[in-house]
Amino acid sequence: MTFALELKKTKRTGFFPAFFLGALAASSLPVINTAARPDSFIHQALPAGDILLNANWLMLAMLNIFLVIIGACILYHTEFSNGGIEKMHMLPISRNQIFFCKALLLLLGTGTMLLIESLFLVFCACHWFPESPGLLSAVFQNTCYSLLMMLPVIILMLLIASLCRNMWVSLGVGITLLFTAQMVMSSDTILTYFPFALPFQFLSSSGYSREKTAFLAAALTESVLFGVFKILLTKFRRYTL
Amino acid sequence: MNLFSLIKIELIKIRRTHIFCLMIIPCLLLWLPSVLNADMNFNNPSGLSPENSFFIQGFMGFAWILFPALLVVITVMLNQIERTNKGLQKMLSLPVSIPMLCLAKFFVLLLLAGGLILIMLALYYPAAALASAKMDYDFLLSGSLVFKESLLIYLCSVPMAAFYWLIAGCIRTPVFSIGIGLASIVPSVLVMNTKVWFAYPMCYPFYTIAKLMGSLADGKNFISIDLIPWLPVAAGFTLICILLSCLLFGNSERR
Amino acid sequence: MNIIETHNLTKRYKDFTAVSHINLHIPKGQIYGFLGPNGAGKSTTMKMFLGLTKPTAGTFTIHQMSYPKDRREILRKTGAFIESPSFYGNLTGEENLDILRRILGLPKSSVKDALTLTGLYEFRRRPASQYSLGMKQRLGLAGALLGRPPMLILDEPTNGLDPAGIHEIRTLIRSLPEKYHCTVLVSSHLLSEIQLMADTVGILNHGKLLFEGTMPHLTDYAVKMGYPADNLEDTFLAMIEEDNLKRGGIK
Repeated sequence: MTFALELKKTKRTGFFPAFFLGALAASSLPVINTAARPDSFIHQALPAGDILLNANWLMLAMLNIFLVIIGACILYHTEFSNGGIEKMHMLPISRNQIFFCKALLLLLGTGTMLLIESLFLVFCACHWFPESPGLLSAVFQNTCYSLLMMLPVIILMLLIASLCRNMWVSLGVGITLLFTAQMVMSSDTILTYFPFALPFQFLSSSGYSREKTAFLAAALTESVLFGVFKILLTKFRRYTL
Repeated sequence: MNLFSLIKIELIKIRRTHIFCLMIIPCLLLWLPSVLNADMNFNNPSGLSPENSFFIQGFMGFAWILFPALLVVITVMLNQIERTNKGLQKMLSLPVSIPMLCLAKFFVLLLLAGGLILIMLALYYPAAALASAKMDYDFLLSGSLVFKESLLIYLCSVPMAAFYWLIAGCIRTPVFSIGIGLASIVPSVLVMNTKVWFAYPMCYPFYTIAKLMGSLADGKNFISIDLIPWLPVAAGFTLICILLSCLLFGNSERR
Repeated sequence: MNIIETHNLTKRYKDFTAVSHINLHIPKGQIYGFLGPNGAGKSTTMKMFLGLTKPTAGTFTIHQMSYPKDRREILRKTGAFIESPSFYGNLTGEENLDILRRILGLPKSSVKDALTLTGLYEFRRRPASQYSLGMKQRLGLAGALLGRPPMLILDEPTNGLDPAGIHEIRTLIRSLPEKYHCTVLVSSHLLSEIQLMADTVGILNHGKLLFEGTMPHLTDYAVKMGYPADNLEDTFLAMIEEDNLKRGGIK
């Protein structure tokens, strides 16, 4: 029931349109990129999926994270802007339930977005690389992988948005985190496991290497950690927020 | 009421908005990993000298995302100051010229952008000094190069700022104006490698720094960018954006 | 002499007419009470006077001047307070007024004057976002009174104030025409309130002007039309109800 209510709350906030249009905008990048200079791509001796991901994933991942930041801000802005959350807290309803339903919504939005992007990647591959065996399964695996890699970003960002009454603060923090991720993602230290740096990882045709599995484990651990953190917060900060 | 006194009024309005915190913290975050990873500058693949590499790496991160992203946020924030408590409605019922008001606000945006560059510069020197002390190597570059490049980035950002100003004025839902602004940053990596880079103002700052990197790697100390058709396109773009935003300013408050 | 005159002033939004062919005559140096239930079109009319919204049809003059030609001159002579107060939350009450003062080109003393007049002086250093509802309302009023303009447009100025505050503000408004020779257009949805302040009254319902005239005229009119005349509140309610019935509404 809570989920249905949360879904209703997103009405006219532009939450789903944002993801849909954002996905279309992001998907147009690989198409334009490949169409503009096909020569620099088609002669590479790599599977089609790899070429496309190598060339575009940095941009796509960045746009995806931007959208998750914005989505989280929208979800909690409707609560804070006119005091809706105070009313919610006066009702016999679990605060954690509200949070995790919102997380599910955000996951749904992200999933839709990734799916649309994958479809366009498949289109690019079919159009410019007619002979690409195993393409569908590779792209599909990458979609699932990316969704899991987005999970810590989703939960962390929602956590931030739920803690800041002022949307500007959560937005600023989100962008700063994304920026930090940009700075640390190429370092070879533990910092590559920084939550906002994870979505920049993608699955190439070589499949699960040890490294990729480590990233996956990190993503899941971080998600659980942030989730537990939220539950603890609601427990100990009952009278504030 | 002339433009100058209007700008003064607009500057009063940004008091206590924490806009400076918003500008300083990301810049600090930018230089921190640079100093920590200072040793990476010694094996630079593009053949830059370590001190040049240190400078370019920092400013490249700045020019690519941080600077445009902060400009977007500042622009929307400036608009929200007017909208949250209907301050703009009061302004519109006062005897001021509305396009002038819009222009004054745009100048405040440019002033803040300038402030951002100054913060970046002010942090570069201590960061370079720290890295020098850490690695026992002189990372400090001559002032003229650093200042020239900063000035260039600043000038290049004017068309971009005008574009964001237009977006923030037209799209009333703050989340969406931010969204469009941020989304417009990402393709600059793509566009700047094409022949029509000058048609996409969001990539100007990034383009100049990439050019500088190229010429520094070649051992030159200056950058050569074709001013035609860049300058006319940039100027035209800026003018159109400012004109449109002045015309549209406050329209939704006067339905 | 009339300071504001309107001729068939009309404002239509897509599928709804907010103000329909009204002809107002607001005499100089008096308090004009603008009365009507919520959503009658009072605020819309006042917004048109301030150039905040464009009339769909009809014209109006203020001091024999009109929009958009004399916009600045009209606004310079008009102090306004529309709907919920508008201000900058991050600035203190004093700073908010200072911005207005600079734009109007007034001396510094005018800020203190307006703050004292509305009883906000002791809170002048507090950010406006931390003001209570009543204080925000007073800040809006102070903004309107700043520089003591010859024309004041006040939209429900006593909303959100406590009884003592209502009384205080009412007395203040009542005293303005004598003290500063200004004209006041004040709106309210309470007749009892208008009755205590206004010299002339205009009653609006669903965008139509039902009555315009002095208070004694209103009593005469009520007697003539068979409305209860001993209590003006009843007169007002009966008038609105009859109009609603005529429009095919349900009682």
